Amino acid sequence: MSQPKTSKELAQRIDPVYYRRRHPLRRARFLLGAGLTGAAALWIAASFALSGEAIYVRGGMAAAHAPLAAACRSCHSEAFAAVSDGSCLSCHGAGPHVPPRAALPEPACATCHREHGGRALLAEVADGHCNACHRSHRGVTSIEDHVQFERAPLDQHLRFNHRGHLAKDLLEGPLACADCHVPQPGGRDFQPIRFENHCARCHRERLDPDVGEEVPHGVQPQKLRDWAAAVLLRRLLEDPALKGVRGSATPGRAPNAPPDWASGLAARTDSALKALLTPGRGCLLCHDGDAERIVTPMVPLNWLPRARFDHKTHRSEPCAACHGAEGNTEARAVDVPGIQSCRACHGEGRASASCATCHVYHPPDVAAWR
Amino acid sequence: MLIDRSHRKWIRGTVFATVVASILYAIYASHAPDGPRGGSWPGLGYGVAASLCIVFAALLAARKRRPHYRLGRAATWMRGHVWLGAVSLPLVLFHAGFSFGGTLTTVLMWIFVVVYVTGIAGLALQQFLPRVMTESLSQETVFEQLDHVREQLLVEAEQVTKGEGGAVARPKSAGRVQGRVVESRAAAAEEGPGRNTLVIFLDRQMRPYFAKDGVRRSRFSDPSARAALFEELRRAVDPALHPVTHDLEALCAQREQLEMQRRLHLWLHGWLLVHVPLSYALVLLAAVHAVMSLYYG
Repeated sequence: MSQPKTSKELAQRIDPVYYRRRHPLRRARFLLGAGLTGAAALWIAASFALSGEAIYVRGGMAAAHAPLAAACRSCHSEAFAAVSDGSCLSCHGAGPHVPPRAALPEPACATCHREHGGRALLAEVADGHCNACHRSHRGVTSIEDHVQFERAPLDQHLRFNHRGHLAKDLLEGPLACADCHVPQPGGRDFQPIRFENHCARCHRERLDPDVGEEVPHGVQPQKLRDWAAAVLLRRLLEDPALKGVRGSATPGRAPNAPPDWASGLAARTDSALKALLTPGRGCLLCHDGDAERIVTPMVPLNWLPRARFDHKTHRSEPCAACHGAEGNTEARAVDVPGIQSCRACHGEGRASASCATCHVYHPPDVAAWR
Repeated sequence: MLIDRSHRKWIRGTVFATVVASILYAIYASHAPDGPRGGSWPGLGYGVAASLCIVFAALLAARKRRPHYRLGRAATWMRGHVWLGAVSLPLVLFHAGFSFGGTLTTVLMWIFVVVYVTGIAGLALQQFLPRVMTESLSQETVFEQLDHVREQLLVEAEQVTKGEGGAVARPKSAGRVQGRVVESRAAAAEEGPGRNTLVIFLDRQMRPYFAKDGVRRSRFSDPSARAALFEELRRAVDPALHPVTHDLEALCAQREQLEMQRRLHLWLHGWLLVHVPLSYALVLLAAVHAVMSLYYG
């Protein structure tokens, strides 16, 4: 067994001046603390020298702003202040918002377009920014809650049977959608349907089978009558049977009698006009109107005036995925898909369904949106 | 610091603050169009609250350096350090919107996480290690003196081995009375042969064990191996020297205790080597983050 020590002997083991020396752990702590703090300060200084303010950038920047990642002051022009609209507008030409019904102040660009949030495209604005003012839409939390589209006036004063034109037994052969609906250069919308380009090949009207003159398109009945009378008169004057009569009247002798149908010029004009302006035939095959007036068609380029639909981004889908033209038998029916077509692909976990996907805050033509 | 009943108010306050902050955060996050951000007003509020907690926790070091200042009890400061530090984590996460952000904020967040985790670990160790030390270290000494005491033990071993005299307190009993009696230690000249064996044993076997880092590679570290070595030694020396061998064995046991104390002390305080230095860096980088974030609006 060990020999127990006396208190004196035990006390002699202790260095009486030990407290003058620093605790080794405390010293290590101090040295490590000084070293780490110095390293942190050095890192801040070195980062500033090498890459400017890049380390302060909070999060991922929009793809278009990536070159500005190390140039904070190009947007943050004022110290201790939010990014001003002037910084944005120095590069971007954004127009105003549709004037709201209530007098609300126009929010700053950065209110909705939040940079440093990891969004690749700042134009993708979160729905909450829209609903901050559009309170009636606050209950719309998904595309399932979206109201049915408010489409342009459906009465376009034009009758067109899609199904009939897509029929295989068409005299000129079956048509395809793209035969008439030709994309505009940008691909978003389609070029307007023109009679000359799309209809005339089959629907060219002639004044009279005997005359064979092509009826001009886009002319009101009164002018059409004048035109028809002029054509018929010209034909009358060109009639060889009148060649010997015209201008050969001798003084003292009775003039030659005019041909029979020349005397019926007015009646023939009426007859030709009647053929053109009979309901279901001629002009009135497609157009609304009567013998006095043809109603000018109202075919909008954009059927969804409060939104924008980009056909180009949807080109992977066949037309029939949204449009049921083949079942469109009613001549006046306009085949603009409803919200249910969108829900097939857009929604949570699928294609984007945010407000900004279809609606624009800065419409190019503000007046058209009112 | 031992978490006992005296912490109940702090615990209640911490839980209450965390619950309130969480509810407010849930409301704020559900209404934020672009999700929670540190730059929003609620986000800034969480950031300021978290900063205040962190600064208070960091001020504990300054408070310890000025113990004579009348700034409240040290125990209160320590409780504040623990519980305000605890609530700072949810506040920081709410401030950041559970996102690490850019380079500086990512570094800042990781440092904070390490500081927080080491703090939790240190607090957990403090709940049981002091008791372990009290129970297992009967001859605990001042930590700074461990090397000095170790050297003194070696000197004592040399003295015992060479047979240099000294006073020892031996337990004595007379009837029901027990106590220690100081006796003179026997001189070497009175003992039989084998002293040289002891000297050789000390030099070759024990001395490396008493070196600064000798415990790791010595057989004396294993109590059973050590007992076997001393049994072998006792068979090799004169029975008159057996008390000396027992003294040497006791010194080796004390050496083992010193090593155990060193290890336990390092466990008890070693986490501070990470916690405290990183806290300094955390405060510096947090200040830079705050200033630069406000600077850039």
